[in-house]
Amino acid sequence: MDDKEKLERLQDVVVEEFLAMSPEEVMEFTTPEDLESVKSNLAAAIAEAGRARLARAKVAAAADARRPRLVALTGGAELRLVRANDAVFDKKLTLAARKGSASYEADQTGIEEDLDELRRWDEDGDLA
Amino acid sequence: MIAEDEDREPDKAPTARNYTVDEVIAGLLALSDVDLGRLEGISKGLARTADMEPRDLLHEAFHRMVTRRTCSIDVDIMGFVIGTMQSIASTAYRRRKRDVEEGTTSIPIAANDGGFDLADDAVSPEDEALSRIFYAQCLDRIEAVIADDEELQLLVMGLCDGLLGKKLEEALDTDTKGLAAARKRLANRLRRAFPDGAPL
Repeated sequence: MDDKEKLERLQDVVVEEFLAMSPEEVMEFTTPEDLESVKSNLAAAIAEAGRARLARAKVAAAADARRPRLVALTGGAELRLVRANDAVFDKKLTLAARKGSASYEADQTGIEEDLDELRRWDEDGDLA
Repeated sequence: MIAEDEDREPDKAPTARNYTVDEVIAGLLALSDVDLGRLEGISKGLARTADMEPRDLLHEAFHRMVTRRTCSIDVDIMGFVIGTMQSIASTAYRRRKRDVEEGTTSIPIAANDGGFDLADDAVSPEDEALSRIFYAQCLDRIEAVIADDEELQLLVMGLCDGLLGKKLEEALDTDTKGLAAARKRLANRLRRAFPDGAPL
């Protein structure tokens, strides 16, 4: 057992004896000034922790305020209005719907061919 | 009773949850004057090992409890405070020495927050040597205080040899009641000899 461990053993005895003391014994050597000191110490530690929590909350709130806001849209008309008034958003929405792939113009011919084919099927069906 | 220590794992069941900060604050504010008196006395018994003022040790313990230190709800609040003070006292001396040399004033001790603490094993030979000298001086001061009391000398020797219970009673040639009285006498002697904090 090294000196530090020896001191810890003796510390344990002192701590245990303090805890085993009757309230009267404790108050015998505890002055009102001692008590006030501990209470103010505790209040200061709690206040410091509170200030630290508040500071962290403010930082988090500021970071949250800088995040892009989500816009809730309830109807198609509203969406069309937003798209009409915001060209950048409209472009982004189109791109998002296409999962970021090539531009609409590149697919336009293919889409028109598909629509023609569907139209033809409808007409054939009507004839039948 | 004693809460966690950086060197000693707390005894807690794997399923036991930890106190929330609000619970710790409520628990601390609910302590009676007698409990606060005990803590004040114990801080005096622990602070000198850390080469700290008792008031600073207590403040540091309170601060850690309501900021980053965690503890199972199986340990009562008194045990949490005492364990935190013991933890600080067990490492603060060598940290303080190192910080003074490095020019920093705080005593950063890794949080016991369930995560991985920073490695704390990088103790330089100089730190070790300084600590050994300091702890030896603490023991010398205690021995000087009990130099006139053979029973207390035997008690301290027995405790420092790791003796417990019956073996300690045999070393003092006494019974359970006599051992309890001797322990109490030792604690009182140290408290009176070192009103601002025993070198423990």
